[in-house]
Amino acid sequence: MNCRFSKKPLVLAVAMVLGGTTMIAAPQLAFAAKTAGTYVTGDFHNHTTCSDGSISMQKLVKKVTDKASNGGDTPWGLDWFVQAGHGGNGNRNCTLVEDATLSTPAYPYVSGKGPTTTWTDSIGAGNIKGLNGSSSGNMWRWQSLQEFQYPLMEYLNALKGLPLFLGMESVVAGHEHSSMSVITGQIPSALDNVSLPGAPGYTALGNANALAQWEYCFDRADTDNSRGAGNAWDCSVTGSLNSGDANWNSTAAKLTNNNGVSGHNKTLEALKWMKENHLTGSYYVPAHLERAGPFNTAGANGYNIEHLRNFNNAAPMTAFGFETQPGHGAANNRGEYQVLRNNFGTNGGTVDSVGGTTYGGTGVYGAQIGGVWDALLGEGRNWWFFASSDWHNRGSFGPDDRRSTQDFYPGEYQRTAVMVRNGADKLRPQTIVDGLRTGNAFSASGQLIDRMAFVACASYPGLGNRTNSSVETIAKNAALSNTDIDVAGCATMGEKLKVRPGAEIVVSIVVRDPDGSNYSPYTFNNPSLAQVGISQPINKPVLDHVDVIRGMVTGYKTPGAADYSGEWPRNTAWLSATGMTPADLSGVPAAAKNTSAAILKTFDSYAWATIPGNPEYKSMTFRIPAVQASQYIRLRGTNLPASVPYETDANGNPLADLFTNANDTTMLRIPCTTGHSAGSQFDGCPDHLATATSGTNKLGVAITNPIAGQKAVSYDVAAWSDLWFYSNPIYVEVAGTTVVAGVK
Amino acid sequence: MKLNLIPVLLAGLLSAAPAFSATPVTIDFEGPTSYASIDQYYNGGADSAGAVGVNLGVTFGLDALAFQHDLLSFSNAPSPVGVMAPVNSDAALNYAAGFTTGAMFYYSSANATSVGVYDGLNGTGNLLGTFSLASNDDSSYSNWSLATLTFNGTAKSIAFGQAASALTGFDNVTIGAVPEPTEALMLALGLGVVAQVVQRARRKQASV
Repeated sequence: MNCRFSKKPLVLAVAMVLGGTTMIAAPQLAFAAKTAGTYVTGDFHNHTTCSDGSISMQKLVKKVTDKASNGGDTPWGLDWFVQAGHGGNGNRNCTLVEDATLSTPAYPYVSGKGPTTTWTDSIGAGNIKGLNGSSSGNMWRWQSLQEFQYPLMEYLNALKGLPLFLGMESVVAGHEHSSMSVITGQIPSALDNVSLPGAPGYTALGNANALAQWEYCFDRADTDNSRGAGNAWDCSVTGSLNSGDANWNSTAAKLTNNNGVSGHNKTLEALKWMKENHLTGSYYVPAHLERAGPFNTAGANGYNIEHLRNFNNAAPMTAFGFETQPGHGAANNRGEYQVLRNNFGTNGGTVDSVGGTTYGGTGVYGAQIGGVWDALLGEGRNWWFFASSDWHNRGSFGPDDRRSTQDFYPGEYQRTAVMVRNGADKLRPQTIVDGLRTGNAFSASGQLIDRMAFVACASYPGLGNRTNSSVETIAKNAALSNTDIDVAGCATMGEKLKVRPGAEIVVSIVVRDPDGSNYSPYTFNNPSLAQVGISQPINKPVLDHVDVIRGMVTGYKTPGAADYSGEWPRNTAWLSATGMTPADLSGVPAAAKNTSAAILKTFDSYAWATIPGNPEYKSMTFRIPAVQASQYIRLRGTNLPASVPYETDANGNPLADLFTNANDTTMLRIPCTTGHSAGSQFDGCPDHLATATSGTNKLGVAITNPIAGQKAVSYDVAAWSDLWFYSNPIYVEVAGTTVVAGVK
Repeated sequence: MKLNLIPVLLAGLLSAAPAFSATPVTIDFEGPTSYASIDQYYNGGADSAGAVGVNLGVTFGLDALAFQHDLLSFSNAPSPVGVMAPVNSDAALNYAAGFTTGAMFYYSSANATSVGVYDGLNGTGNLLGTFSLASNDDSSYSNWSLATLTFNGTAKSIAFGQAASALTGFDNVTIGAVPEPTEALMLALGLGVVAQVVQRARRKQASV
């Protein structure tokens, strides 16, 4: 008799019974992990001869993406690059290369032609489209983008295997300029397998039609009325007045109001159009937004905070930040910011750039703790800090000279590093724009730092307690591998950490201050630091300290409310003739400040630790105890200690760059005394530095300059001497208090 | 008795209606996101980090947080990945449908504390019973003990927030699952009969 007792049915029975009467939870949908990514550096604001730049697209791409390891003559190779000239029109053909070294099979060098050759002399006047195109020789940017610049950019993308695409520095209705792009149609995936031509001529697989249409429809400088010739564009926005608007031009099928509030409203239409048609395929980042002064109700000048709020409200997925660290870093008026720069005519006379000058190379909106940026962050907005080169030319020097009295190449001086989550895929425009949108980015000048991990983690007494070392390990691993932080209960830049009241926040920061030389050509000691007895070669900067800045979040301001709008104090109400600014923000309207913002911690070499085996990496960890209200933290750092004369104040804040701007030599104050050798302009103070003078300054004040007659820190030497980095914020949203609504 | 009837007998025993007065629900905390409020995760919704769980009809107050082992150094929990800890008073387990008979859970705590069971949601209404939890750990969260409670009436919440200040961790919370003493006796007797039948069958098989 076979009487084996099988346990299997018994087990099944028990399982059946228990399964029938006991519901045991099983995970349904695990929280989606972020796609892996790395921080990659790029630039989205720069010019070629198609607008007011000085070189061809090919030369610019080569300059900014070459790496020394690839035999390039410029070593600062960026990981991604958006070529972005002005809207409007231009008469030069930037697709023609300067010489045979820049030849490619599809775009060979043509003897006697180059990037300053006109469209008329290259393609023929008859081929220039739109209003007055043929007669003026000026090609509207929409045609240039659509028919000439995009095909070349796509070709270079495929040829070099680099994420190159097109954007624009729009000439903004109601304001000055803005970096932007619509990437729809650009760099299609089919390009991965393209077979490039071996002879002149290239037919693009993708297109920049959307960007071109946007330029036609909304750029202030585009007064064409042809509807893009054969494109037959209509600039209507769903739900807007469009043809019912008094400013609608029916022939052009677009709005033509370009100044003041009316112009600003046109720009809001532009943002609505982007939101409607290219929600994730566009970005809009006001550029050097303090330069042209405050908002001008009768013109097209700067931006007040209410305009930034309006942009972000209208299209939060598109208008998510600003270029408050401008390019033009080597100019005689750093960033091209200066006192009495802007003529408002009868609507205000001559008006300073907002803040008067830059502050350590950054505009006052971003540089002033408790100012405009903190006001926006204090609302819980997704409003991020970016830096771009605004490359045009080298000023007094040729494009291949390492000296500059005007601009730095993209990547040479300022670099924005952005977390791009491309997984195993290559870098593509969409993932790059997605990365910009997240705010997981930091910007550094002079390669002061080139790696950053910035993380905030929740900690609770008992089971949820995190040690400092556990969070430091998270940051250290991320920094060492240049990757993201994806840990439950932690957040990094551009993200919000949701916690219960009373949570402790463990913050860890790891930055890499790279050894060796940066991309500065100058090897003599930093004259700004020499004032305080520090001997440090300009091209080997050392991070002096890192500030942690904290502000509280109190929610969005209501449009129309008194604290929604307000102009930054104009002219000497902010920057006095002596170069000093008010000691506090009392003169700043409520709308434009966040008085809760302050330095929470400062770390220097005495306070940070170095990672064993990796001394370039500085590690800083601290705890914010028992948070009871929503807040944010952000970082800045510099090579300059506090109280460096004419550079930093006693609290380490950057002073106005008035004292290094060569456009007013009476205000230059930092002598540059190291002589250079006969054969070099780089081992000592170069000849092109300005000489300080006494006399009447730009504001009409008689100045006796203590260094009159001496070479003074100015131009590119001023920029290389004065380095900063800025991180984007980490938000902490405390349950039951203000919601950080701008970050999802 | 044919041996292949034994599983059927066992099933009948275990599923006998009088043995359990309500459908037991066990929450093992393996799924919700670490450091997130469990919130609606076991109610067909999401935790505060957006992870979605199975619908067991159970919600938690927002101070009941999930914690997962890969981020923290607890050990020996009955289900190894995740546990729950209240970080403040709003940490009640709510079961709107109500549960009867009893409840049980594992806990780890360096401090003695107590947890009440109530007939209202969020630890309101009448107190039906109290878990008295003795200290059983040295704050390493490596020792987990089973605590059981029987009560009369229909409960709707367990007020875990009462244990927040004691820094107590919880795992494998079962509601409506603790047998009454008499029911447990009947179940034991039934299982004993089954065991005897099995043993007898094995002896018989061995003698063949």
